[in-house]
Formats: sequence, C-alpha cells, structure tokens
Amino acid sequence: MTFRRTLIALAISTAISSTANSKDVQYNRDVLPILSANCFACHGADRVTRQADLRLDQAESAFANRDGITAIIPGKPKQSEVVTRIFSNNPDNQMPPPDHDQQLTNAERQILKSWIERGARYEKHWAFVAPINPAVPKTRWGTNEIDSFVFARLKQENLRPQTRATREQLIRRASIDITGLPPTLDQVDRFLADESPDAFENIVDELLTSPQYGERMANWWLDGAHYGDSHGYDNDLENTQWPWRNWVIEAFNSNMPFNDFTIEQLAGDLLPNPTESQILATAFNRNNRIQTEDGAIDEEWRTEYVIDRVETMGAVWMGLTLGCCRCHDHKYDPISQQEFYQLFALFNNLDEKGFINNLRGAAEPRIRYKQSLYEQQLQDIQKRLPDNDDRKQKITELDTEHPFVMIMRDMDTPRTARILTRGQYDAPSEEVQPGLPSVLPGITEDAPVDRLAMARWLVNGRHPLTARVFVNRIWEQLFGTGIVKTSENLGIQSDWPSHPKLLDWLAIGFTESGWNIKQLIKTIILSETYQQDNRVDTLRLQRDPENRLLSRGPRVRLSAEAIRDQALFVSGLLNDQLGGPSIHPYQPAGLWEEVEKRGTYQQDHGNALYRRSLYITIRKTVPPPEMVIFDLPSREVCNTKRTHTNTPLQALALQNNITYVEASRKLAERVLLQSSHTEARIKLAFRMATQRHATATELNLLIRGYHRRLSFFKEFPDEAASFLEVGESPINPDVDRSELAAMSTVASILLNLDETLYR
Amino acid sequence: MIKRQLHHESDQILNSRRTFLTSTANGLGMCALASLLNENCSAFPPRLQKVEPRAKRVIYLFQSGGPSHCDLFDPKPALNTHAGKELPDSIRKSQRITTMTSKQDSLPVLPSPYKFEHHGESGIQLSELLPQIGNHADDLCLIRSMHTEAINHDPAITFFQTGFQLAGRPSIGAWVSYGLGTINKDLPTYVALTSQGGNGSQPLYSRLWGSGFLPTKHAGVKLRNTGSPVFYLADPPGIKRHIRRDMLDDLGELNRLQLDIVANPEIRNRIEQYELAFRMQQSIPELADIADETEETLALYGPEVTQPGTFARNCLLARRLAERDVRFIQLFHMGWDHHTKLKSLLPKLATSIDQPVSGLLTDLKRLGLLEDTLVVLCGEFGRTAYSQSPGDNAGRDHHPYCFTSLLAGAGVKGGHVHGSTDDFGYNVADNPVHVHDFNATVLHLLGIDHEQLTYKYQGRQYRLTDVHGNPVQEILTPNITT
Repeated sequence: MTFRRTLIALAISTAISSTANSKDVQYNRDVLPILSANCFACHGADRVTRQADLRLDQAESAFANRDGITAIIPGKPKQSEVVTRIFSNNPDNQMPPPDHDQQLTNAERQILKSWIERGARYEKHWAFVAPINPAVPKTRWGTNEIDSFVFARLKQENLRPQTRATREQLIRRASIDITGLPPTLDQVDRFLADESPDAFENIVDELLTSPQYGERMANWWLDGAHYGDSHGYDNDLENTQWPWRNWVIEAFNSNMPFNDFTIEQLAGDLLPNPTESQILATAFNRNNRIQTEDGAIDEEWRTEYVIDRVETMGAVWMGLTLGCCRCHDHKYDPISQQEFYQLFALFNNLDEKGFINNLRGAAEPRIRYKQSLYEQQLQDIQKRLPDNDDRKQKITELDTEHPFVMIMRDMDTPRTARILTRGQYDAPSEEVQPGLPSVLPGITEDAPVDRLAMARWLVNGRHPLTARVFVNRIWEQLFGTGIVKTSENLGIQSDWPSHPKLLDWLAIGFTESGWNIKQLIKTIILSETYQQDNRVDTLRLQRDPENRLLSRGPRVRLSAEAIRDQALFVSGLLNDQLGGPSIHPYQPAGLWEEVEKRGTYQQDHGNALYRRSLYITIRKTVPPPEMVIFDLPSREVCNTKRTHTNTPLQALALQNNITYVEASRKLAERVLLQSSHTEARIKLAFRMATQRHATATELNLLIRGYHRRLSFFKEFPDEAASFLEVGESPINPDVDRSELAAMSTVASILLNLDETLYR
Repeated sequence: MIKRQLHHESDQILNSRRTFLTSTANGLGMCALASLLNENCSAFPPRLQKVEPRAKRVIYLFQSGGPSHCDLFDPKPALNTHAGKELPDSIRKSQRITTMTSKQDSLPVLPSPYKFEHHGESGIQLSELLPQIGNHADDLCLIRSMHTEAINHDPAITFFQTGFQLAGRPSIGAWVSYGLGTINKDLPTYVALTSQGGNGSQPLYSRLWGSGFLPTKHAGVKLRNTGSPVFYLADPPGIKRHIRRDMLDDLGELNRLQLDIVANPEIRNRIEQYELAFRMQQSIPELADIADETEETLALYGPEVTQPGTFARNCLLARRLAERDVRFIQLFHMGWDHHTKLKSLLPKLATSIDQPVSGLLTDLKRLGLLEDTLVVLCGEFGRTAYSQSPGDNAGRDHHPYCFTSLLAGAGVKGGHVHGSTDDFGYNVADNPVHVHDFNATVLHLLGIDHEQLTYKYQGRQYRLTDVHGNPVQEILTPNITT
C-alpha cells in the first residue's frame, strides 16, 4: 500500500511539475483547478452556500478590504489572508477547514502563494472565451499543423515522436475508427501494393464514403442522446424510436454539416415549413425515460423529462453540467439557478404526459415515420386488396415499417415556467422567461429566445464551447483520450488541455470548414501524430505514461459494438443491412423474464442474428449483457464518455458467448475452404483477425496447438460434434468435423488476442 | 519442444505451462508503471481515510416492493382504536401520497390483522408472522424511524441503492468495491442475487447493482438462478477443462509475445483477467453447488432451500459467498408490494423469509461469521396506516414517511431498537434515520468515512450520500480499540 501510494504521489507531482514550474504560474492552468476543487464550494458562485460573503472566483471580491482584512493583496502574499489561512495549523482559522472533504497539498499551497506573489492575475475560464486562431509552431516533423503543435510539445519534454506505424496497423486503425469494422484482406493488399504518395489518403476517403461510417458515428452519438428501445421505468415496455436512429445514420453518411445536424435535432420542428426528416430529427429530445409505474404523479415526471432535456443539451453540446443548477446556483461554473430554468422554459412546452400506465410504443406528441410514403402505400393496399386477412396482414406489416415516433412539438400557448425551489416539481416560485446563460456570448438579435434561437446560438460560430466540445470528443474517439481529458466537462472543473492551442486550431478549422465532420476526421487521421506506431518503451512510459503528449500512436480498445461486429465480419457472418428496427440476437435465456414477467425476449433467427451491434435492442432496465460487459454505458441517462475496463467477465464472454463460439467456427470454416494446408489456413486466419502476418514463433505455436487439439477431437468425435453445434448457422458439409473443431479453437484464440481487441 | 498429447479428462495440465506474470524484459520500472496504469491502482479513491472497520463484509437482504412495517416490525395497537375511521389530518399533515390512493374518497385506518410478540431478553416486539426471526431478537437491531423521499418504487429503490432517485449513479455495492477492493482472489467483489416473490412483483433493474459512472468492473456480478450462474461462465459443449487450459496457454503465450513488442502494461492485465476467468469457472460452480451441505444445515434454511432461485436458497448461497470472502452480497427479493389482499399475500411472503433469515443468522453465528459480517434487511419504503382497497381485499399503499430496517452482526448492538414512530406508524416520532444516514452507517461499519469516498465525474466529486448523511452512532457497539 505504502509503495503504491508513493508511486501515485510521485506520478502526480511529476504531472504538476511538467505543467507548472515556479517561473510560470497561470491562473487557468494552475490556480483555478486548486481554487475550484477546494474553495469555491463556500467561496464561489452559489449565493446560498457562500461563507463570509467572500468570493474567490472574482478579483473584485477577493481583493476587497473587509474591516482591515483582505483575502488577496496582489503581490503581497504575506499580507494576504488567504495565504495566512492556507498555511495555518490552527483549526479555528485554517482553510479549508479541517473537517472539509478537500485539503490542500503543499505543492498546491505553494502555487497559490506564488500566483499571489506574481500579481494574482485572474482570467476568465478559457473555455468560456471564444478561441482565437493560434500561431502554428514551426517544426520540421509531420504532415499537417496538428503535428507542429504536437512536436513542439514533445520537444519541450525532450521526447521524440514514434516512427510511423506499419501499413497493416494503419489500415486496421483507420478502418475501425471510421467504419467500426476491420478492413478486408483485399483492401489491405491493395494498400500494401499502392506506392503512390496518396495511398493512405485514398484509403481514408474510401472508408469515409462507406455506409458503415454512418453506423459507426451513429453508434457513438446514441450514448449522449441515451437512445434505447424501451421506456426505462417499471415494466419498461418497448418504444419505437428506431426511425430516429436511421435519421442519425443518414445524417452522418450524407455528411450533414454539424450546425444543421444540431439545429434539426434540437429545433427541427420550429424551422419554417419543416420537412418530415427535420421533424423526425427532434426525436433526439424524446429519448428520455417515461414513467409507467402506477400511482406516479404526472407533474413530477413531466418535470423530470424537461430537466433531462436541459441536462442532455448542456452535456452533449456544451460539455457543461447544467443539472447542478436544478437545485441551486452552480458551485463552480457561473450559471445561476434562474438561468437553468430559463433554459427549462425552452423545453417545457410539449403537450406530453408525465405518467402513462403500461405505455407501449410512442407517446404523444408523435408522428408516423415517413407519413406520406405510408399513406401512399396504405391507399395502394386498400385499392389492391379486398377487406380480408391478407389485407390486414399487409397493413400490420406496413405499420411495423412505419411506426409512430415521439418528436418535439410545442403547444400554441407555452406553459408558464417557474424556478423550482430545490428542484422540486411541487415547489414552484418565481416565473422565468426563456433565456440563455449570460456567461456565454449571447444572441445579437432582439427576437425572443425559443428553442430554435437556442440551437442557432450553439452553432453561430461565436459560441466558445460547441466546436471545442465536438472536436475534443472526435479526438477522444481517435486517440482514446481527449485533448481535454474530461471530455464530458469543459467547465471550470475540467482538466487543463494537453494541447490548448491545438484544440483551438481544430475548433476554429472545424467551424470555418462549414462544420464539416468528415473533413475534421480526415485531417486528424492524416496527421503524422495519428499515424505513429503505438509501441512504448521505458522512457515513454515514464515521461508520457498516459500518452497525453502523444509520444506514440494511439492504442485504443475496440468498443463493445466493434468487438462483436469484428467477430461477425471476419467470420463472414455479418449482415450489413443498413437501418431499420432493432434486433434480438442471442441472449442468455430467461434474462428479461427473471426480473420482469411481462416482457419476454423473442430471439431472432437467421440473418437478423448477424446484424451490426448498434441495432441490438436496448431494454433500458435490462441492457444486453454482452454489450454492458464491454462498457456500453447506461442508456437511462445522458453519457458522453465510455470507460474502458478489462475484466474476467470480458474473457468469459469472448470465450463462451454463442456469438463468439459461432464466429470462431465460421472463421475456421472459411480458412478450411480456402486452402488445404494447415499452415496456410492458420496464416490466413491470423491475418484476417489482425491484418498482419503471423511471425514464425506465433505460427508454430498455433500449429502445434492445432495438432494437439485435432488429435483430441479425432479421438473424441462426439465432443467435436457438440462443440460445432453452437450457433444457428449451418455447418458446411464439405469440411472434416475434427479439423473444423480444432481450427475453431485456433480461431477462438485469435478472436481473444489482446491485439484483436485493440486497434 | 516437447510434443504434448491431450487426453480426455486429463487433469495434469490444468496448471499453466508458465507461471503467469513472469514475462517481459523491461524490469521493475515497467512493473511499477504497470501498476500505476492499472485501473486497480488509479481508481483508488484519493484521501480515503478509513475509520475502524467493524464489518469485513455485508449480506444485504433487500425486500423489494415495500414490506409493511406496521404488520411486521412496528406494532401499532392504536390502529385498532381508529379502525375504519379517516386518518386524522394532524397525522397526514398534507404530505403527498400516490395517485392510487389520492383518488380514493377516504383514507380509512386499517389495523394490523397480526399480533405482535415479545422476544428474548430484550423483549423486542415482532409480528407473529416472523416467529423464527423473533428467536434472534437479542442479536437484532431495529431502526423503526427510517424515512425516505420517493413515493414510487423505481425512484425509491434507486434512491436506496444509489443515493439518488434517478438512474446514473453507482450502487452502494459498487461504491464499496471501488473503495475497498476485493478480499478474495477468484470471485467478484460484489455479487447480486434475485428471487421471485408473489405475483405482480415490481421488476428489478440492472442499475440497482450497477456501477453508474464508476468503471463497469465495480458493477455487481449477478449470480443467476437458471443456466450458467454467471453470464458466459460455462465453456461451450465439447470444450473440456483441459482443452480450455490448453487454449488459454496458447492465448497467454501469444499475448506475452505481443507484450514484449508493444510493451503496453494493459496486455499484462488482460492476461491476468483471463487467468482469473479460468479460476472463476471453477470457483463459481463450486460456490453454487450445495451438494456438500449437510442435511442439518439445509434444514436451517427451510424446505425451499432445495429449489434454486428461492429466497431460502439464496440465503444459503449468501453464507457460502460470505465464507469465501465476497465483500458485498446483496439479495433482492421481489413481491412485497401489497396494495390489495394484504391478508392473503403478506403471510406468504413473511413465511418465505422467516425461516431462511433465521437459518442464515444461526448458520453465520455458529461459523463465527456473524462477528465480522453485517446483515441488513430492509425495503425501499413502508406501507400506509390506511387501507387502499375495501373489505377483505384491503391492502396498503406506498409509505415513505416511516418504516423499519433490521441489522445484525458486526458492529451493531443486539436486542436494540432505535427510533420510533407515532401511534399510526405514519410519521417518525424520534431519532429519524434518513436513507443517507443509513447508507453512511453501512459504509461506516465497513470502515469507510462516507464523506471521503468520492469519485470525480463531470467536474464534481460525487459520493453515495450526496452532501448528506450521518452514521447512526447510537446503534454501534462500543469500539474495542477506542
């Protein structure tokens, strides 16, 4: 324990010294995190909890003389009460008080002291100030500006970039990042043979135009929206929101600019003469859970849905935790409770119910998916078929293809919005008008604020957060960690960016490109930084343990969805049908029934079993375990950041889940049919799983293991037979059963390799 | 290289060819950094100052649906005097009630159909429906002054488990896993078991044992009643243990080769997790298989113990988990939501827990496990003093303003009653214990200061008890060391 603690302390002190040496103390980078974590709870923005009427988040209050005592006197630490208090051992006046949750370290005390010594210069929180185009450092390494920023930082730390990754690594990395699927061997071979200087760029372009790109991006977007296929409370019956998922896939695939993408989802219904698609987009804000438990109070839950929308908008677009202001002024960020309810007013005008007993399908307000097409086809059926069972059947099918979808639609007369005391639905106080937080640059026009105005404000190009939050999250997708590590929060409590100027350069570039998402991704992927090899060594591990400095290429574990999709893809099972209703693949029997008797799980059969994972039904109270085990976040609430864990349950799932046992068999079958030599077969399987050639050592090891298990299965054919029966896909009659079983064990090992789970 | 031959049911190679954790040329510096990068390490909460731990582990018997405190744990003879009369406004105090009974014309007082009996030297009164639990009265600590905030099941049970009414926060077991880590080497830290009660049970949601915003490895592992006890635990048919070992050795070897090249410590972690998974494939079926229990032991838990999935069986499994040092063991028992037909439904449920809970306490005590195991029994709220349905169909509605929880074992006073309610069992009369206080107490008994167990998420230090809660000092046994 002591040893471990020491190591942590060591690592922390290294991290601090690398950003703040004694010559250079910056408020935002060095001082603010300390004040924010330790002092602002009692001496910050919240009026209610403020002590001694002292604010340390504003110079005016901190520098004010109170009966001869001044908290901070710039340049005079010894006369500053703050310094006296933080260095005091007297429990009566030491700060933070001895019983406070947070206590300062010595290093932190020294930073505060030297900041005051150097003039105690306050700065507005960097993320609340619009980015200014930074000067690009002049360096000789790299392919674009990203590399200049990264190289300059590495140079400061006496580190050098890693060499470029192998082409196999590169195409695997880019393909999985862009499409969520590994490349085909044909793509790999073409890339290896392509000697043109544009070879990698061509591959990236090809990947960005594939329809699988939209699926991969939608998959990511659904977390923040907390999309799921059920209502999320009580008996948790299914909804029919999947058409909105189609909308997201199509929007990404058509490279809809992010400003339109934003406006349509937040306020498509308020656009002049909105199209069906623009209204469908607003289903984004109907992914909230709906209370279906008998006895619930309608207004209590309707209020929750409105709050959920405000919190989700704040988290997804601004990286802010607006939910804190539900009950009180924000403790850290300068956003008041009143401002929270001004945003609340924008989402408060739906004619919706808070409680609907046993709700199944879509609640009002709702539209039919592709209404005009639906009506046309309905008329066609009615014209064509007499009123009989056949006609009823056709209409039922049509209804399933065109379900009702919950969308945003404001009432003609808006509801009065009031501040809710302590955030409680039954404690309304003063009335508020719609409005936007004053700390962020506002809207210039005088028109009243509505949801549409709010959406436009987010993407007006002057909003300091929207572009930064978005590019940071894209960066996190591609590098595993954002430039701001706390990608879920860019408020005052956020981490200092590893490369602040790079973040601003990307944000400005993104806005100026017309919010072009594909171009942003392409720019990052074509950087030399992204293309580095991901090997580490002792020096890099010591100086850059988390790869925040980017001294090597990113090594990122595949998402839950990509792990399953990859297995289906390399085994040839994947059904690449785009869009449509959610699917019900293999799931441990009885899972739904043992917690809730009313909803039975009806597993699909045939081709539907092998569709991509983003289509798997998510029943919010019983999410699919094979996804959850690999860190699918709860879709009950907004979540913009996934964790990456490494657990024994993952090992069990990859070895024993029907999906992976079956995928191993099909991958084995593929290679058995393609070649008649064991060595060639195993070589091929290895390459399909990892895209690279196995080394001689690896190959020998796998061949020996294959033969050991082959002789076992030959001796015990019944064992081979029962092993091969796992999964519903048929066994090819042309292959030898013992060989197939033994090769399946090899394939299973390959699908379990750490390397296969990463890219 | 020696060519190995695999034989059916051969045990000789069940051990890894190579002791795992040996490889790598990078030496100690690498190991140290590996442990730094390892989540086990970096996720350790900062500044967690432990208080003296009294309990090493917890067995938490959650009775989902809201057991009726005034029919089971908190005798209210005054209800008889007021039978059928309207609940006085002075008691109701305009507090909110659910829309199931707010729609009723009246709120007539419903006396308990059950007698209460004094038990043990302490003389604690418990319902005649719980005679065997009554035999343990002198080991029990009742908190009769519990209160909560929500009036519906989902928010109330979520609040109890996570300290917040809405989804998204870690459950108490996940917090404990994060704060204290594991004390065994081949089983999860937090195990959840569910059992069915009566008809029309409230559903149980995965979030109740979920990890919320904590890394998912802290989520409770659900031990299932049917099929494989843990998801994907069983090898596929035809893959015998020695074949799995053989495959795992190849996999480990290939991963180690990769570790030597890429040198990323996460690969080493992956190898370890596969070895742990292999051990779990042995340890979990052993745990779930009760064949080695004596007739006498089985008899303690009552006749239902032979049926997998029953509350009785899960109580026995809880003891087996406790023996194996699983830190947080939580049983969820459905079916306590008695809006109607209280008289026919409640005795059935009460009977289904009476002997198993009694058996569990006896069993833990005779094995010496009760000394360092905290046993908890509670539901998400109580039930109303007034009747929801008329006549023989009478039942009770949800009641958050007071209810009872039971504790026993490590660190809590036996034969003790804390707090009380008014004559109607409607409001707390003295020593109120809020859910946050209760959770703070459970953490305290485990040696955790609930204010120190924090996790930074979305820019804020979160904790199980939000910004509230005080451990209930009055129920704790005197600390030996202080």
